[in-house]
Amino acid sequence: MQVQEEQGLGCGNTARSLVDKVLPQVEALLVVAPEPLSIVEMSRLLEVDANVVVESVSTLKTFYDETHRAFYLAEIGGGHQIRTRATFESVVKRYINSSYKDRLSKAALEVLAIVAYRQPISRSEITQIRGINSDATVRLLIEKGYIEAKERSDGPGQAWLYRTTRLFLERLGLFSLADLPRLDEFVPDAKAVEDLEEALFSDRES
Amino acid sequence: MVFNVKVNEFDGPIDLLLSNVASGKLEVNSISLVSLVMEFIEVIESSGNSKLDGLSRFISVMSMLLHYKCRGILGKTFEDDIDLEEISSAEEREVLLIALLGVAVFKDVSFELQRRIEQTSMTIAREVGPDLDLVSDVSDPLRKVSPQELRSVFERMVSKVERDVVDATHITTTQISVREVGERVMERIVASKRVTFSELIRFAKSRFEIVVSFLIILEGARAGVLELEMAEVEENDSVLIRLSTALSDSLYENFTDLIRALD
Repeated sequence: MQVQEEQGLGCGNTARSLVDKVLPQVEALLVVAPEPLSIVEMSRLLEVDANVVVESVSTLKTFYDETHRAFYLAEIGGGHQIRTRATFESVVKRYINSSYKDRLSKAALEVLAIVAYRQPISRSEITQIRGINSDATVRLLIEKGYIEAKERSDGPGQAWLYRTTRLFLERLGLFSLADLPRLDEFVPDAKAVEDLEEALFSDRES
Repeated sequence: MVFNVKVNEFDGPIDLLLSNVASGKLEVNSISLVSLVMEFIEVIESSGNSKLDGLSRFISVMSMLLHYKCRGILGKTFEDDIDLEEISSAEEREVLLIALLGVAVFKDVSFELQRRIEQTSMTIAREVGPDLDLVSDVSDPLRKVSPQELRSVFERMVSKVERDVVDATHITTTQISVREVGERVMERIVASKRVTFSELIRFAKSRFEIVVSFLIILEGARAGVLELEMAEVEENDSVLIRLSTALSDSLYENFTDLIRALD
């Protein structure tokens, strides 16, 4: 692969030759891995420093982009994964003859949003926020693998607390929860709040 | 409709009762909520007044009293909790507005999550695993598991799991009389010939049984029915309990009659 020479890795000859050696190995791992591979995991498997793996991944990423390959290296679910580009969606799906779209209902998406931002959270807290019983929706999300319950609260009743899973990150194309959009971006502006207040209480006041 | 109640030394409208409980003037644990409900039902039935306002107000007050009672049972003080009765109308509106805004925010976020899911679903992950030629090199995850172990795992999976059932015994111990405990103690002593106190109370289900067993032994020793002997049992000094060597049939029967009379 010529790309390393063209890129100019900004490191010494020894380091560059190490990256040259490790890069195809990283690519081989990514080709066979059935799920996203983390830098730490690849570093352990290849017995090289994590920085070398980071450099190799970065080089591969640039190479795939610049050579307009049908796939790219996605940072997803806490690791790296080779994925086809969105441009080829229809062609690829024609071949695999199935839809990857895992449609969730509006209710399920709302509960998922609450769990994503308020985790760990209990069912009763979800219900309190939504103002409607969400037990069935929580069960559905567990079945689909988007959320899981692995711990209990310390409070009375020791309710199960729910968290999002790695599958959640993969399906949303996120590397980590830190990549979730900021919640304050969705807070309505003052005008919208005023309108809501007026709509809510004007009847009562009049 | 004003519903007046008489509870302990309190006599007045139920709203005032709630107010007194909220301010700590009245101890909520001393109030029987069931009696209040029964009283209210009687009033409703006798007066034929079942206007929605009155009923809903009563339910609202009762729910607050129940809330206070639960908090008392859980060991929380009133200061730990927001006193809903103290929330003014303006604050009430604010609380409602904030709750609605919270729902609206998460609703909007859910659209964004849907958008991201759809966007990600347009790219397909390569997750086919190693080439077929390499499959033979992949170590068998079950290589260290014997068929017997697999069988036991399967049996464990399909076996019926006995779960603890939460029933009334968890909140109320099964009632047992002094006579029953006394008879059991004597039966065990007769059957075992010599027994330590620990062995004697091994099957006791409550502190009551232990205390009664102890008193029966003391009484038996005082009456000359039982003998107590210090001995070394499993390297520990223990008191062995046995029937008295000089025990006559009549003395034994008198003692068992005494136990029967304890009922």
